[in-house]
Amino acid sequence: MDLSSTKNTSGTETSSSSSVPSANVKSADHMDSSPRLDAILPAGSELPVVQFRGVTKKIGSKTIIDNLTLDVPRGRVFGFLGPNGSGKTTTIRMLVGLMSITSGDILIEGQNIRTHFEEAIAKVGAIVENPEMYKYMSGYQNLMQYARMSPGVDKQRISEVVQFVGLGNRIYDKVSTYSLGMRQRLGVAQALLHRPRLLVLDEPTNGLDPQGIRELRDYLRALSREEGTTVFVSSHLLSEMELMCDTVAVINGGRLVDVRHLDASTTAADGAGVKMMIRFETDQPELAAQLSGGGLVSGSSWTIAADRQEIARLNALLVNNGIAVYSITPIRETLEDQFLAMTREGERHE
Amino acid sequence: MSDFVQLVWNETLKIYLRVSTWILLIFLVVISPTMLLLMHMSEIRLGAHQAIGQSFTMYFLVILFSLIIASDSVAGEFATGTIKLLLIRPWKRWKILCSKFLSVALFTLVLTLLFLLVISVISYMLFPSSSSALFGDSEGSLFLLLLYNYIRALLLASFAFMLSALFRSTALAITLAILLYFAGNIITPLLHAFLQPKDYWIVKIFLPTNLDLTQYMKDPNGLFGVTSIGWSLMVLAVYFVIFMLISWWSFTKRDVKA
Repeated sequence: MDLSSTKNTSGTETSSSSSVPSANVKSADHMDSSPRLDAILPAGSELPVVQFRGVTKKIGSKTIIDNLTLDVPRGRVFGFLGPNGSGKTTTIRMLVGLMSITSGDILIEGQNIRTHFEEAIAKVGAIVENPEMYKYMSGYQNLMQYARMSPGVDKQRISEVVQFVGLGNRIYDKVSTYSLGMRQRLGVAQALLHRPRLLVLDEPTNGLDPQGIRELRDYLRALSREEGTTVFVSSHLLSEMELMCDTVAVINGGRLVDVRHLDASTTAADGAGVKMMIRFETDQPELAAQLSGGGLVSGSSWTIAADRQEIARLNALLVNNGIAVYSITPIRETLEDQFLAMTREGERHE
Repeated sequence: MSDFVQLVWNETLKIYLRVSTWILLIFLVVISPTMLLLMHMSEIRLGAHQAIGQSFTMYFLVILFSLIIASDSVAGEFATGTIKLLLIRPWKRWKILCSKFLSVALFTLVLTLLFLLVISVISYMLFPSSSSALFGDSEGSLFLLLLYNYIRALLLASFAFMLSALFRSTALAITLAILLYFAGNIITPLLHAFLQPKDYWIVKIFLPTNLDLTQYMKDPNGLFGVTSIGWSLMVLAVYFVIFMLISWWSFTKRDVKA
């Protein structure tokens, strides 16, 4: 964030204020509605947007979330991954104050959701499970409901948000006439109205068609890139998470299993000299296995561990021996495989 | 923080933007004067003011309709799931609860005033003979009649509101509220007929026997002769506080689950 642009009262630097016209106004707006901690803190220090500190949730004698400690870094799309019943939704409900916390604390921008609910929640926009709206109202009337409840949201801001999610004139139609995709967009609009620092989405792709999922993904990317909004998104859909998130925390049985940066793991696998499993689809897989002296044959495919150079060599070998090669596919160990391995381990411990 | 009035306005919109509310209002306008029409048809000689007083028999419609709206106020949000988006705003839950109850109280007031308007207009149309006391004594008693009935409606609405917050189910809250309302109406004359005077202490703290404040317009010692208007008002206040406390606990302390 540009610190110099926010205060320019000295009077001598009139030229600099005119050189950055509209961006100035926008960031000043942010400053009015909620003081940004990253502007107050010395440059370079990064306060996590969300801090879970030993969060535990018990319902009766059952422990739903067990001592969860986790920092959500600023400006990322942060995935919260786990199978059904692992405690994702419970965690999110505690994060937004819908559920009480048995022990531990959740801090949002340094504000405790338990003791300073109003201050903490003001920085959060959320969709918890499906975006359920008042069906007998128009989309616009729905947004007005939420606009009245947050300071500093005017009509100008509402039309901005409506434009961002692309609802156009349908915003004036009743929500009961909306498709699920449109409701999801209205849900995103509702969550963004008050310019939250943190956007929380619980299973946002549930029930959306591929087109809707794609749109949502684009919104989230745009938000984190252009507005610096941190996005905290939960899902059990691993493939979705891989496409959407920078960082993923894996939860199982109410416990944090792993936190990993996605881009790092995929680039390492592409590096030279790193072997990975390669599948050749050929007309004579058995012969291919004989020639190279190894690999696994199943159906019309032959799978072997190889690095980049070896793939080329193996391909030449097959072709030179008259074997038709239809396709060559690297079998990357996906997050899904890693995830399944991790959650299976978790189950074994229980 | 933005204005609390905005919250009440939000809740009011939630009531009036629904078609079902307008059906209730139309119902009220159409059905309230039936009593007057019947009296007119049987050629009973009445002054307009007496006719208005008689028409308050139909006030149960106002009570019924405010019970319906009060039952839906909290439970409806849980049923549709909108509660999740409502409670993640920078407002403490008790403030949201207050705004909800205020909107119900205002709706009950609107119903009451609409009721008064309709029966007054129809009364003056059908029984124009009364040039006598347009203003004067009966104006004061009309005001009291209105006030007492409104207090009764408000208390029953707060009861339905509590059920709504407690059970989080509109159907259950409506059914229980209406059932207990009618049961209370039936039980009062039964108690009057069969209860021994030594057991009249029950009557003193029992909600239904204290609900109808109009009993003190006929007798300052009430229907059973053991209560007074001050006493009944105090009992009602205690009940009101209990209903509000249960609503508050239910709404602010409990988790919002899936």
